[in-house]
Amino acid sequence: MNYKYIEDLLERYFQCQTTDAEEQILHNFFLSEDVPAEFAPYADLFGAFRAEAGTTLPADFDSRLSQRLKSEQGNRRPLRARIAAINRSLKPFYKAAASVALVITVGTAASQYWSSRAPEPVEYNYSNYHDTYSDPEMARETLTDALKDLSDALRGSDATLADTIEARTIATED
Amino acid sequence: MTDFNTDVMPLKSKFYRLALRLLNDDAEAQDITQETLIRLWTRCATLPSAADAEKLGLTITYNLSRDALTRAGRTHEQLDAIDENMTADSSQSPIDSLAETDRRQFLRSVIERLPFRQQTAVQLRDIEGKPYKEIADIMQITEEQVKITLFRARQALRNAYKKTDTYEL
Repeated sequence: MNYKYIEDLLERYFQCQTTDAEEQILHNFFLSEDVPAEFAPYADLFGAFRAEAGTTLPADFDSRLSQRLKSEQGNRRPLRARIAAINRSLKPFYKAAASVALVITVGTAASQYWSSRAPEPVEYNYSNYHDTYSDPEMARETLTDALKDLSDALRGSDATLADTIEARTIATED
Repeated sequence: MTDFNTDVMPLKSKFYRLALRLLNDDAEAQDITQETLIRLWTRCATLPSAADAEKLGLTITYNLSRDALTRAGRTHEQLDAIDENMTADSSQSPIDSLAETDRRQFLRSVIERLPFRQQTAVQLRDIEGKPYKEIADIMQITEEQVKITLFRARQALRNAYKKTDTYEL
């Protein structure tokens, strides 16, 4: 073997001037058993290159990969048309229906509340009274009627009372 | 049209390796790988070939990783501009007698201190063996920019390995 040639190749190798084929020659040369001592460091370099090319993945890598691929496959299942159940197809309207129902319920409750409020309490303070009739003639007539009604009622009750007293008197006399 | 199980799933470790390189966190790298695969799974039908799926997957992984780092508080400036003059950790033992795991550990420690883009370039070119054109597409920069980025990364690697070499002597 012409070592001058190898030396020359090595020099050009470190200058990045070797072709693919020439680098292959170097690799093969340093793989052989009888490399002269002067090339020993480079035999170590090329030997280490070759050894590094033999690094492989650990054995459990494949099973983890296939698991991951399976889950990816699941994610990528194509979309298909489905006949949706009636409650599924109505699902988008559920919210709308719920909000309408809520508004109606609250509205009804509110109107019930306002309409069933207790009547105005009786006002006893005369100074707060207001005129209810603008025509004095009409007011006087209404008042006269009212007093007459009251008078009749009192007289009626007197009569009833008188009757009762009279009846009791008769009963005790017996 | 690509099939997820036969065309995309065999690429999962490639996405994982890129995310792990950039994030340095196993759990986070697995999360990003899973996310990448799920995105590819949804787009499977639109991808003409497995090669397209691979390119898109690496692009997604790259972007997700960058986003995760940005979220974690590292700005793009920081991502691209940290220590250009990084040196190998001198506490590392001489690599001549390094066991396989130590050799890998040493390379990782060197790459770890590179800026984000340089890490991506080394991962895609030197570890995954991708052509420049494809790396440029994945990183969304020009081929020329990929070469400049990778040049810086390889200079850093050379310095680191040279150092251990002289340290040994």
